Amino acid sequence: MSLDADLLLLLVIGIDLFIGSTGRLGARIRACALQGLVLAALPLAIQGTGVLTGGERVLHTVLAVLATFLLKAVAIPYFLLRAMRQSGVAREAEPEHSLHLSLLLCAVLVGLSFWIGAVMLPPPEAGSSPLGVPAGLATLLVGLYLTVGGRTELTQVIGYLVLENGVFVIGQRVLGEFPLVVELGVLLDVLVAVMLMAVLVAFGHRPEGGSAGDGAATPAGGAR
Amino acid sequence: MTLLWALLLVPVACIPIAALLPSAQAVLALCVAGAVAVAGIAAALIPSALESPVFAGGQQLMLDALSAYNLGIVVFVFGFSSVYALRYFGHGARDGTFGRSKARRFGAAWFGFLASMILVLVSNNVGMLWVAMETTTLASALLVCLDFDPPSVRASWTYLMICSVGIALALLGTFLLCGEARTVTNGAESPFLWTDLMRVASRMRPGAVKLAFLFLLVGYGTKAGLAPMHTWLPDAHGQAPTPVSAVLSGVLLNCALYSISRFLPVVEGSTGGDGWAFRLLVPFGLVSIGVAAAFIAHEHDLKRLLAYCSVEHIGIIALGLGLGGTTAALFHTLNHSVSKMVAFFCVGNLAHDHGTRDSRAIGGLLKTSRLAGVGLLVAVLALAGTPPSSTFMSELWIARDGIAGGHLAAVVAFLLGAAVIFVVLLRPILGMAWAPAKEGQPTVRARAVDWPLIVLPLALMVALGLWMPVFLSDALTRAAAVLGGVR
Amino acid sequence: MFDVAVHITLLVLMPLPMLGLINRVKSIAAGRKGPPLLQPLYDVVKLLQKGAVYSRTTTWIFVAGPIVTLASAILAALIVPLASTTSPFGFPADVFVFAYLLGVGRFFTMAAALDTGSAFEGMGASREAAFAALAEPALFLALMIVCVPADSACFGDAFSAIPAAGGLLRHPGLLLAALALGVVLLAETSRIPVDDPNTHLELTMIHEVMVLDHSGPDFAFIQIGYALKFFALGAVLVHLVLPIPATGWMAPVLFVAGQAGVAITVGIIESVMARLRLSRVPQFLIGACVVAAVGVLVLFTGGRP
Repeated sequence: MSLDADLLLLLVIGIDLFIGSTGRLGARIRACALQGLVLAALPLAIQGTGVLTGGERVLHTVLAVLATFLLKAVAIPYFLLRAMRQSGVAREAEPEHSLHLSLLLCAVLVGLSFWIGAVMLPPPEAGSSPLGVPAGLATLLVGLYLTVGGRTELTQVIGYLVLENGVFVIGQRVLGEFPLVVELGVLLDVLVAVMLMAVLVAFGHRPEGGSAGDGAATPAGGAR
Repeated sequence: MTLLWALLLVPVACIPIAALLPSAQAVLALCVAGAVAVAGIAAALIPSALESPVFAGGQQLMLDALSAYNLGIVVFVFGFSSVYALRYFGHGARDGTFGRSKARRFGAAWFGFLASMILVLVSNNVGMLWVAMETTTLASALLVCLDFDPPSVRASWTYLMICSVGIALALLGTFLLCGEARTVTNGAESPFLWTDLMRVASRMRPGAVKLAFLFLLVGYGTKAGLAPMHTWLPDAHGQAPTPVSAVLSGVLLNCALYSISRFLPVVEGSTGGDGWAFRLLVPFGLVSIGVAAAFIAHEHDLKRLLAYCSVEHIGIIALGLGLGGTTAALFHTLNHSVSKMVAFFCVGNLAHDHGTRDSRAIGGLLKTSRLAGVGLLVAVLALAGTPPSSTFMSELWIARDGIAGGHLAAVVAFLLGAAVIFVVLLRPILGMAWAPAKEGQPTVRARAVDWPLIVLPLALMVALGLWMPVFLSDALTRAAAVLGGVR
Repeated sequence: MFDVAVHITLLVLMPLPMLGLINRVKSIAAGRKGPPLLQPLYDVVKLLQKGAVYSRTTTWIFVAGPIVTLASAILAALIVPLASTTSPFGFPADVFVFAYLLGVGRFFTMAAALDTGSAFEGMGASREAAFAALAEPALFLALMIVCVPADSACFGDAFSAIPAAGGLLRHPGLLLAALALGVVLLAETSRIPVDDPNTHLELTMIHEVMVLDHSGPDFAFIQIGYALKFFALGAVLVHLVLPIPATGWMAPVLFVAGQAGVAITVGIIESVMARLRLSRVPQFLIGACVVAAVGVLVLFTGGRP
């Protein structure tokens, strides 16, 4: 098993737990950015120095890493932080919600994902990190929890981002690589989705539409 | 095939043009022109695609019988809706409420929506299929919040959030499926191309493929509005401008269902044709019908009523696929799209004329606004499955195929649900049609453009209910063959 | 015989100066010169020369508290391997005894605090109990991870197996265990961010408030016990992080350097961090438990080292 990939995946899980346990929106968004950074570094860690000598795959990997970094670690967190400031929503994510409970739940989800990873999915190929699927699943589940349980729009967007990161980790684990066009398309779509959401959040909290934003979370959260 | 590229690139090219045109009228005219051009290209492509799949861009783009059939529905509904958009926004364009910047936004998103739906249908690469599906969400979310007033922003938000999460699960399913395929493909085959997936399906492990399909079903099912993942649908379809509602209900849901059905034969190939994937669709279909019935009974907002009705029909289509009535389900797709489109057109006109969408506040429709009133009545009768409409025929076929396949309990549940919906759906509409007109309700004369928009599709629906042309039955058979043949 | 001598020497000489080192680091970080390294030792000596004052409401428990605390801390420090992979006083399954000894010491400190009948001490005891209940699972989980590579609940076997298995960085599970142990160390020894050893505001104190009524030699015992506890937990951490050889002159050097590193790290943490709000402390400790639990999962997923 690869040393660096293991540590990076561990970091991914750690960030999940941190996001689940912190109440401050700014900290959550920055943690998301860090997770994006880790995700960008993941292909490098998995392929090791082969990246630089791999012939035609070099361009592919470099582009994918750069795009992931720029979008997930820079652009998206930037938009979210801006939306947070513009909308002037409370900095505390959900003060009425027990953070202890949230952290414990996230821990249970992490445990669950280790179990699922061990029971349901094929054993990892030789040479790939055994943590890939559990880390990805954990991120996905924590993201799902944050999205569904989020009280404000911004927490839901952050949850969506975490979920998307989880899908990415699993994708890298089961696929190794995917066609560049698809990879870039996926990243771009996620970026646009988050930008749109950020715009809607910022709009929903403008003075004239103040109550609209608060109501928005309820039908979605309540119905699911 | 250059035509396939043209089909994709014409709407893409229209996006920047629409964003630069100088006036709202010009944008609306471009919408019609672009939709007609795309329809023309599609008409040239579809006959050959029905014969044998058309490829382009290596194997990345493919138009086979199934996607050609769906493409036909898309361009048909989109063409009519574009013309209707001209009529719907026409007032606003003249009195300034539909200003230039709003029109540009509409035009760009409209063509982006069309392009992404075409990409869904023509991409042979399942990763690209996902990208396209997500892009439809983004483009249509922009269309839903065109007015940027609080209710539409709220609806748009809910739509974007739920569908993005759902579709992220579909991405996971795609990864799992391709990851499994990667272990069995040889150098010449790509684990991302649907045609290659079909080829290697029998070599993939059934367990892994089933897990992937579960994620795909839940993910794309969210987008298709299958209950219980339908919660975004009434808000989005209800708050969107009416031409957008018509397209959302009429074809976007089909595209999502098409994405699910693409994977059915792959799963079947892997499990050795035991029908597991098809059976999985049955409960989703039945739950959708049941949920729709419950909500329609308490809904007074006409557009939301039609939105819940869409949940029902998507349920029926899924049920049809699940029960083995593939041909019938595909036929029902066409019937639902066309009738729902007309129903939305009529509701849009009524809402504009009467200033409300509340079914209790409108009465005497047959006298006060004859064309829209009669049109709505006929369209809803068709949606409820009244003979001699084609919807009746397709629902009958689904029941027949279900009984032939031995799924008696499911068919009984389906017919029961359909009967309940018949009652609850018609109750408010019949009330509007024959109740005395409310005080101060204006009498409205239909405009010339309304006649072809409403009468033509309805006539088509009735005609198809009485007589099935050879080319259509041929197309249905060929499209069904892609999904594993007429079973 | 030689290893016993080394063990005892380290045990006697190191704990109190380590506390002095922490204070020195904090002083330097704050721009002061700071007290001499041996200041804790001078304090203890001064305390031992004084007489003790007992309240009339106290019973034998109050007297027994400091003695048992000190005794348990000495035993714990004896069990932990210091400048070698094994301790001369080690025995099979001593890991559990180590954890329980810490528990016994804490129990008697709390009992003595309650015995005074004062509301302040009672409050401190209740806080200590609450936080200990959260820190102990983390301690046990972390120790469990430490034991897995050798498949033995004996410090000697465990610490011999870790360098052989490639050490900390080869096994993310062990890394997480070290993290959790670090948090436990801070919590058990009442350091920032869990508790502030320098605070004199009763409302925020945890450990200090419990020992307010002890005086003279009793208080000296408590101080020595406290230093030993810090020393013992620090030793476990050092063995996890540094590959200390079984024999040779490198072992004591590495060990002393490691312990100094622990003290300096704690000093830096205390300099840059503020004490957590009391209501946030449980979350900090639960976090440690979760980290340790994930470590267990990782260890079993990644295969045993």
